[in-house]
Amino acid sequence: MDRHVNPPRLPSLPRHLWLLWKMRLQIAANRGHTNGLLGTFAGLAALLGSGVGIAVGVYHVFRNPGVTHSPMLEMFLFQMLGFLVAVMWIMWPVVTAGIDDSAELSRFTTMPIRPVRLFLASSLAALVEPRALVFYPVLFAAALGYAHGHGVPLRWAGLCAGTAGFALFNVAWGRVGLTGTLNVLRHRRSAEILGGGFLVMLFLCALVPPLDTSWLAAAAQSGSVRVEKIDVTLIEAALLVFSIVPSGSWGLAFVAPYTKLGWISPVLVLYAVSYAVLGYGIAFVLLLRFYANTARAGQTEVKPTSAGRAFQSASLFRVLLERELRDLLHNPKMRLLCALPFFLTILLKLVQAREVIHAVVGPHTDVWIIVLLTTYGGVVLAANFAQNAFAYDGQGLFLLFAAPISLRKVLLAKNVVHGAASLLLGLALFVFYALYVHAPTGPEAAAALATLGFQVLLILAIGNVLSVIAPRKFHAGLQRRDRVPPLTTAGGMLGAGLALVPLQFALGRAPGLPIDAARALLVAGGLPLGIALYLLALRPALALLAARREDVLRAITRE
Amino acid sequence: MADSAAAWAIQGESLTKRFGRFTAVDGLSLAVPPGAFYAFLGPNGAGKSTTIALLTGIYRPDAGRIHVLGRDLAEDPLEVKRLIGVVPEELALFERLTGRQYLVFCGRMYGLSPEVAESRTVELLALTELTYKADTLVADYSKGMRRRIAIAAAVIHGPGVLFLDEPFEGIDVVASAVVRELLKELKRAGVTLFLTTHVLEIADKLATHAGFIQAGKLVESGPVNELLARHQAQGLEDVFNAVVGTPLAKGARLSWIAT
Repeated sequence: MDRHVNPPRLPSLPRHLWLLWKMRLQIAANRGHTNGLLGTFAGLAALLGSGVGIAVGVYHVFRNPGVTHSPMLEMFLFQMLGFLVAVMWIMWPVVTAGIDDSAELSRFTTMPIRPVRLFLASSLAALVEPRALVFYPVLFAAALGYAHGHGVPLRWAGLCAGTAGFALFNVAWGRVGLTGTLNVLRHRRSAEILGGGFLVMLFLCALVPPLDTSWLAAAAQSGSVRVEKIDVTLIEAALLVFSIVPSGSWGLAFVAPYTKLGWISPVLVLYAVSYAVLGYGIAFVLLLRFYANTARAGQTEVKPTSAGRAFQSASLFRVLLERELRDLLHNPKMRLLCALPFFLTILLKLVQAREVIHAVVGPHTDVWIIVLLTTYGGVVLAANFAQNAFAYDGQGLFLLFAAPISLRKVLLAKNVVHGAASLLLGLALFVFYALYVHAPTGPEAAAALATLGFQVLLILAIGNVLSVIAPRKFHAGLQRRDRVPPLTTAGGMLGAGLALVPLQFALGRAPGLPIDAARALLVAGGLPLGIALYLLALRPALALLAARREDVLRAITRE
Repeated sequence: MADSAAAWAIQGESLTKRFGRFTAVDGLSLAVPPGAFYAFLGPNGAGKSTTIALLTGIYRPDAGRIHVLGRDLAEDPLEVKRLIGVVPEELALFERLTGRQYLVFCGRMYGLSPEVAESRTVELLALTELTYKADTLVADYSKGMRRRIAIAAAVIHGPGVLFLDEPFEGIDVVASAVVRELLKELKRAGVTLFLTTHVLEIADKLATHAGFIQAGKLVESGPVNELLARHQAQGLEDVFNAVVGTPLAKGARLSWIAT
């Protein structure tokens, strides 16, 4: 027995980090191999491309003479950039419902490694993961634009220290958001907690003085940023609001080395880093709490419902609809995805983004915001449900395929439930926006809702084909990481993009004027077109499903 | 106390684990001698998996103490994990690694050098008859293959005690035979084996000791030959029926099925 109880020494921290990162690289390489290297590279290139595209715009903003001649405006822009990047970075894992590797301690529970090392390894890896790569070009472009605008050399040491502190901060609070959400979603009363949290956030937001960005509209109307026309007190007020947020202080820390405020820079970096450390601490505690509660908790009390009776008397299609609906309602990811656009709307109000967008797009502001919000909801729901329609059926798909039910009915039931969920989410968002942010006019509302309807139809039409071509098993639980196939993501974006064409066409006919009833009717013309396209795509999708049913079954039921 | 703990490979005293209002393990005490093959038996939901999770440091008990190979689990969970191997019922494997990459990774996590981890991987792949699938992703393995690779990963570092939760669950005859042979080899090598299973024939053939759990309590335990004598039984199924009870469904009829 001695031979067995004398194993080698456990790896040191650096060796553990190396082993864990090497494994991540192996997994990434294997994934590229199975999904097609081209697809992986295309996905990465698209991600980096979007980052570089935004970076070019940011560079030009900070080189703009109107900006460089106004230190106050410059500082405000840096702070706003810091705030917006932080919000996006932190929200990204939550918004995409991406269950991070740090939340997968279960695979290591039997191994002799402390959870804190796993957490550390995954947190550090998150600094260089693809989603982070979008932000670095933007930050560096801002610095480069500033340096060029002022004719000074780029101070790399300050830039790297500031960016590292900022990235650590964002990753930490991204973890807090993700692990906090996981804990809430696992809770038996998650719906009530989400609802309550939403109300508390609304209340807190009401206490925050809104950011006045009316000067932006004035600047846009005059065609250029004329600093002398800007009420500096408004910017000072905005600076104060942003400085309270640690991410905003990054902006200040970033500019300070170039100014007489140079001494304050390390203090502000320290401020951001201390918030980062606090974030990691909270995220780690939340992660351990999540794993402490993952065990089976005995029998769950199920409230008696009329569902049993329904199965006796209802039609077969109604039974399928009820099953799909119950499946969707009990999916924790669904709750998260539905809650997020509402939080985005609150954020939109908080940073007065409507005014900023108004300065750019003019009278079509509300219709665009509503459409973009519902597009987000629609695309994310589509990618997770409608475009991978069998994803959550698991072993239950055997039952559906074995039962004397036509596959057409199965798919239609899924379409009805997924489509209705997207429409209801869009409608709820519309009502919330109208009540909380700004009430649109009748034609604006009609155009936005018609676009939503067209979008849902297109996403379902494309989704039926994608569900059969690229089926992928998703887990209803939150401990397993599910990756949406790149083809599915691209399909969702294509459907959403195509659905915007009638709206763009109608708005383009009179760009400077608010949308009227005639143009709203033009947008509504997309609805019958959507129905026709949906029906047209349904037949080949069903034929494809019949031909590929074994592939679909294998992909979804694989353990 | 330390002397008594050192005499046993696994010793649990008055273990209790609650999840909310539900008590999964209720004051359970057990002791397994070194080199034993201990079959831990009981009906579904009796608390077998929770007990394994407690004994391997995955869950913390609400009450009670655990010693494995003389080490106190509460005092040094990392040291205990280093000395044991675990094959959980729910196989949470790294699916996007190949079988070979997975085994090397597990070996390295237990401190093996790259050379040793790789040579043991080759040996284990051969022993589990997975050499031909060594460079296939674990995600593409069948259930039986996943079970075999999980056992291989659990023994790559040479544990003194191996815990297996339902290793025969859902696997075919071939995989079952491979796992059985693997367990015999480990038993021969002196590894203490702690196994839960519903396949009592296998427990009959392999186990030297057995324990029966019901509703979180250990209702019977001891060397298999003593248990058989005590209950005048032919096999462990008889002991199971005697201490846990006969299935209620025996003799039940379905009224709508024509006779």
